[in-house]
Amino acid sequence: MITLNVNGKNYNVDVTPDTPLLWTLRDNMGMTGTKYGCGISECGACTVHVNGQAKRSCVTPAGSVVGAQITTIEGLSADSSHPVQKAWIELDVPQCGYCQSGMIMATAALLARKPKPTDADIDKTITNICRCGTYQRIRAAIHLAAKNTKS
Amino acid sequence: MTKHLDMNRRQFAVTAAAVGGGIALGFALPREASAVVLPEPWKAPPAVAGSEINAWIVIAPDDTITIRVGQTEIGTGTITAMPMIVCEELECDWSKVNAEYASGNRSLRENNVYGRMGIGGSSSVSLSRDFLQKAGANARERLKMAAAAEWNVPVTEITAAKSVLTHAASGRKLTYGQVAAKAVPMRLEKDPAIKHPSQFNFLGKTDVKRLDTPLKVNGSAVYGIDVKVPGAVIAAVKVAPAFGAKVKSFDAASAKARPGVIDVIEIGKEKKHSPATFASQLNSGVAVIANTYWQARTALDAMAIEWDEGDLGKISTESHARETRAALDKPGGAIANKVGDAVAGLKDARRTVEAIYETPFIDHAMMEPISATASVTADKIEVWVSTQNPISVIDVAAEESGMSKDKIFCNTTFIGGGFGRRTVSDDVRQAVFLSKTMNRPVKVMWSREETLRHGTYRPTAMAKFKGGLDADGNISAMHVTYAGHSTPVLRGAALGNGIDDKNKIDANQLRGIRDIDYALPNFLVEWHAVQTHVPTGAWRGPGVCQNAFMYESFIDEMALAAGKDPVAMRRNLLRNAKDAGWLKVLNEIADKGKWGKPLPKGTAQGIAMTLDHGTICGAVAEVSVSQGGEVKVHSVDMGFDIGHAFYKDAILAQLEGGAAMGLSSVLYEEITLRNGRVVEGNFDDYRIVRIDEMPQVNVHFGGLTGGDKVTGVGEPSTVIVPAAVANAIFRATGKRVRSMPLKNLDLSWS
Repeated sequence: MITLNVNGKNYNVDVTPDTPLLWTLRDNMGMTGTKYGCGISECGACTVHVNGQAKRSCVTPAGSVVGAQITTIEGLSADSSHPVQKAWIELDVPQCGYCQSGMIMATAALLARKPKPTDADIDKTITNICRCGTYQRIRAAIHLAAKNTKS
Repeated sequence: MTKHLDMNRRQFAVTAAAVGGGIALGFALPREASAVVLPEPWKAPPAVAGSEINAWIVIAPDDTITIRVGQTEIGTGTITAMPMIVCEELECDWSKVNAEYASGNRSLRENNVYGRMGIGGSSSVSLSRDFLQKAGANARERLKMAAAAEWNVPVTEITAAKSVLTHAASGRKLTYGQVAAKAVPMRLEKDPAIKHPSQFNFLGKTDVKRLDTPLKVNGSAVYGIDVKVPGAVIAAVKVAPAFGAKVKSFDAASAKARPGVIDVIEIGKEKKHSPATFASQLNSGVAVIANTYWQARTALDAMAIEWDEGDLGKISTESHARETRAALDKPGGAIANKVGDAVAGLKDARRTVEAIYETPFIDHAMMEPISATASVTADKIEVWVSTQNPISVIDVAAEESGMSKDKIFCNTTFIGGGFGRRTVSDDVRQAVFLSKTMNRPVKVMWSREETLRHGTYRPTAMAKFKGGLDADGNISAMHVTYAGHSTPVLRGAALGNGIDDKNKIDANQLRGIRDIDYALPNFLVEWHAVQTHVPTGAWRGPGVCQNAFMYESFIDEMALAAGKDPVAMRRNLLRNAKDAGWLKVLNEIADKGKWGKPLPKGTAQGIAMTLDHGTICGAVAEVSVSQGGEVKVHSVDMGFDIGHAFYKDAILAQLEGGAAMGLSSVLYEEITLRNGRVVEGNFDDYRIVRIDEMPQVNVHFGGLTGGDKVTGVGEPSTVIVPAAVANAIFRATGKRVRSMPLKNLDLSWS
């Protein structure tokens, strides 16, 4: 049994410490907004925040984040009011939508660190995969979110 | 047309007693706080008692209108676009429309009431719009009849707009919700006329937001892999890595000793598929059942399994390529096209050009790995799955279980990409088998590796092109010998493992070569099938997704040999094209793409055109290649002719996104075989383009010809990008690309 702090609440979960955070969130805690895409840290669909940093939960052992502040897509805002979510809605970014939780979490972490990212910053940081190819709108939505974020 | 009319009469005249036969998606336009967003979207939202006017339309007293959607949402926008089409004719208030999935079970029980429910072939709009418009028009006219009866005035004096019925002479008004119950028994003498697209006042005229976006930015949209069914256990599965091999032995005891593991079950010992559903067959393998996926997966990975592979291990990419290459030299292929005498025409040609092109197996690699959940009980089966085809889900579940179809329900979830992969329900068969065996609900989950190694791949193809030029540099003859794997998944074994028995060709695999409107006085296309044990199927733009690359590259080779500009060459080839869209699209992309603009050394434009499910599409790509051979695609200017733009933003989304998929396919994608099995296993060795490689995609609407044409946009940009990029690379480097993917080629230059 370990205790994890997710979206501001403590949860006691019955997993071995080496269980990936991804599966702990999904199977043990019922939070399925964080997605499984590859399991090897390639695609970013599983991106969450650990102490504010974007982290790929599929290769993060649950035992390694005990005591950390974990934020998932469900906890990014209570009502989809985060500037990144609003920009995503404004530009109708998602197609199938499966990768978008990870895209949004990766973007939110980028903007927290770098409120006005350049295209080069985006290219370097947003390494998640979208098979539907929504990249053009993702880029536009990142810039829109940056514009709409009060510094 | 008569057939359509009869079908629609039957559908609309019969008003089902049961209201709410659909599977509610539980979301609505983000218009009010009351919009219901359920974490499990197939469940009905809190019921609003309404009147079912016909199978698609339920109107509640509060004027909420529920519109049922038969075309599942794989990301193309159907859940928004289909109700928009109904709304156009119903003349209803879009802000009060809810969408819900139509029930495949009901469609089967009620004589195919929802028509074609599968998704594929860029066809959701083109093949549904007729019956959806009729559904809307039927309901609108019956609502008018109800209002006319209420006021005792002729129905011709009633007008309908924005969910309000008006009698102008007396100034009276009623809302749809107020008369819906009275419209239910109303019957029409004949189907009302539907609007020609040129008469639309909503479609193409209004900026509509996608209904599902709010659910996809906060993690609440539930995909097949997310489904939680009470009492369900998780099955991690591994089937024989060499396709068709069998389980010899496995160490169940050690797996069962691990934490959380409930059972270990061999699958595929008994096969129940029919020839028509063989693509869904239960392959030989092992399932580890546990309480959580991680417990099941780690136990499966640790378990020793021995396979009986026979000679399958001898098959490799190289052996298959040798066999395919040999077929190109065989005389007497099945004739797919014959115009004039190409063989004689080549003999008489002033100059001939010959080249062989090839393309590999590739996978759909949709982001959501394969998963399906089934609950088989004594009197009912429920399936929860990301599917492109709910009817196939029911068919396969019935076949595997022996239960009659009227007791089988498909709960379609949100879908993490399809691209053709989620059409065959092989995952559903596994889930039904395991649930029946275990007598409890089971969720089957494939790892990414299992998903990538057990796909229904785009088939391989090789084509030998021989072209002849006359004294004026025009193409006087063309002979194409095509050797390829066919797509049995699409065609069904009834057609002899993919081959059309009558013509001995796989017409689907020859799209993009045999159906292009180029003026070729002598044209011969011959087909040879070269099959393997590899399962193949529809990949976004079947056939044309590789043929456009091969054919359009060769057309550029001919242009070069003739000393002609590629655009001028095509303009000449299209001189007799019956469809005005060809030249309109060509001119649009040449103009908007600034064809011929000066560019630095190592940077060039490439152009290509093709036809996909009636949609003419073309692209100009601007590409640079470093001297070391690194390719960068800067921009793609896309033109297309679908007749009319129904839902502009969704069209833009499909063409922008599809370009990325086309780019992945030409740069990186390849499934290779060693020892009878797939080598690639994950996104580290099966690379997909990321944001840093995304070109600027400029979509131009000037190619649209209007008229009676209504075609789709799901596939065109994916199929055209490889050809445009390859042609640009030649013009940048002098190196002709004759195979995909580019990652295998040395494109360095000096």
